[in-house]
Amino acid sequence: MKKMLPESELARDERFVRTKIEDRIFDPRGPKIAQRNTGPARMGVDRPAAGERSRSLMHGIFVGEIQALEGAGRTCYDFDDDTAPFQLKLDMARQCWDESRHCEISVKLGDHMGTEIGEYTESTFLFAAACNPDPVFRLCGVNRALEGLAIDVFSSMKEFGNESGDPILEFCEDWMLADEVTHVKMGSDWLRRLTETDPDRRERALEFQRTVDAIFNLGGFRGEDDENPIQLARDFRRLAGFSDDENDSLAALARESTEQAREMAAMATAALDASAQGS
Amino acid sequence: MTEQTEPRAPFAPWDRRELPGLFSVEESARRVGNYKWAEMRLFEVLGGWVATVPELDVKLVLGRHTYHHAWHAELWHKRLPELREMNPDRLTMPPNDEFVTFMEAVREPEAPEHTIEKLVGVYRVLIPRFIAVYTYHLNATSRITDAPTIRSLTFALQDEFEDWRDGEMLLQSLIDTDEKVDRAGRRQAALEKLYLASGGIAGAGSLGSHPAQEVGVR
Amino acid sequence: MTRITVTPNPFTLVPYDVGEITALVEEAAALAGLPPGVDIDLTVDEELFAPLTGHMSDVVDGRVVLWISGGNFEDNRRPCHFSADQARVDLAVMMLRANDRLSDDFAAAPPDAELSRGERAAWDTYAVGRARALGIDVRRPRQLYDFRLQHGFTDVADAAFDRCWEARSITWDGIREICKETGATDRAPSKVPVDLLRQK
Repeated sequence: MKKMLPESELARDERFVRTKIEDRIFDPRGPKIAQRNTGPARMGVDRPAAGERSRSLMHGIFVGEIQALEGAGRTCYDFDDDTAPFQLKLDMARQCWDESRHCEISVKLGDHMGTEIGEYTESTFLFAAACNPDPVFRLCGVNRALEGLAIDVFSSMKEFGNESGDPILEFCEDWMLADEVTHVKMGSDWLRRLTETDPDRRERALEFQRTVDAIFNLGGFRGEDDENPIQLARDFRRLAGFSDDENDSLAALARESTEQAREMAAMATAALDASAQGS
Repeated sequence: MTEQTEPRAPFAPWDRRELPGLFSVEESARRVGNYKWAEMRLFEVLGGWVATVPELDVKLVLGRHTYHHAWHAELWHKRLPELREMNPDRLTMPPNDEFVTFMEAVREPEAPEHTIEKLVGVYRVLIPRFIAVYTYHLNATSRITDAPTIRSLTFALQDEFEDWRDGEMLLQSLIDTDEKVDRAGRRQAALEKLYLASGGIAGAGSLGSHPAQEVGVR
Repeated sequence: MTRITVTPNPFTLVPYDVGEITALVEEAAALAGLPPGVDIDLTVDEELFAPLTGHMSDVVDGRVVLWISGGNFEDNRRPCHFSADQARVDLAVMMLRANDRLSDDFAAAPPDAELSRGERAAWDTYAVGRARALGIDVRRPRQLYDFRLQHGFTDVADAAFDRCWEARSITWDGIREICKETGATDRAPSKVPVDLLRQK
């Protein structure tokens, strides 16, 4: 079996339909919606389409967990003993178990919310972020950036569960949150150990992490305002080992992304209007 | 004057453990190093296969089993220094080249349509062999002097039995045509021949009957 | 004779077909038992996509006035593509509620924009349950979760859901009773208007 599996070869059954992130970015309705008041994007029972938003996010979490499981599994296989220490691979194997469990939890939560597997499309850019040939970069991209995002997502869902009085959602998200804090710590610990004598490699890995972070801030998906569906979970991030500086940096990046999304939407709307007038 | 406690035997009447065992410290360590190598190769490929199997239930089971075998490798890694092998990597090796060939063949299937081949290799060939070799070690080694190995073997065997059952049930549910029965049979036969050529997870004498191994403690 | 109007005509942002939608509206009206001769105006907000979904059913001057997010008609697995199956479900529910409004049982019901979220969830459940009885392929767990979000995750709420789901005849007063029973009435009013998505 070859090493370094590309995202195009991720195996799925017929229920899963893949889309590219560009499909959403270039959807002509995007700029129109960006100019409208569709209410706070932050999850809440009194927000428009609360049920549908939470179902759609839950399915997104589910496919994300599958990719996280696949990513951890590939890290067990892709590197020989010289490139990735035995203990690192043990930690990745442990992460496989955790992510497998998260898939199971997500499936049950999907049942609870009335979602079906494959009801929504899947984007594989999460696995793509895990495809780096350098194990240190992979740890930064997956265990610090993506698992950090998972902390934010699960914290937001947990809050939603609490606000809506849903004991099952709150319970499950809290358990998964505990695991994600562990995963981030694993990533932080290994980053430190593997780059102890190579600060340049560490800096490049952290740069890769910032790139992945930026992708997931796209369109204002994450931030600290009501217009961000996912809220930055500073307390849990701190517990996971992110410094206040790192969290502040991420928040600033998120604000920048939200602003960029607004500007792009305005530009696109203007372009569409000009084109309509011209024709 | 304080009351004298009546002396009791150090081994309770129902504790029938005896001192002798078939394995010396070195022999136990050699085997443990072989186990560790095999468990490592197994957990790596189970993890690698997760992304290549389209069946959702198989994906999740492989994810769980990856950790089981990684943990066994860790148990063996920790046991080695206790068996006077201060450099665990030195003994972490296959018993011979034939076993390497066997493991490469187990790990070889990649395509999404080869889930049966992947699972047969692990759950009908390799894991039953783990069960056999661990059971032999459990029964053959000294229950008193090699108690820590026995404890790890007991934990590992619990996982091996459960994993074997999980995998076998998945296979039975996947093999639903005569053609698939034939595929599974061909795969199993091919791998068993390679395994036979290697002598086993611990090489020749994996399941005993090797005169040089019998070291009694008198 | 019933006149059906679909807006926009034609669609410009998504490739939805007005003729196909009109036929589905007619089918839903017949299924719901809408009296002949009642005109139907359907506005599809083609700017909206999932998960910004929602629909509203009102009766104004004897006409059925419906609004629906374009996301409701969209195939979740093929963005920008129309799903007749999804449209069939939502249109059936909308027509059943519109038909309720035409009856004396719901004469006192305020317009959709003034319903509380609890009242809307209960009424929707009553409509979806009837749609199922009429042969429409609906998903009970989905409706249950939406009901619970507005009425609570309690045994009382689940029992109320079951009654709404199985009922073949409820009045507006009955809807309000359910909301009192589950405590939905006691929830603080939402700061976000229920018809926010309809506002442009």
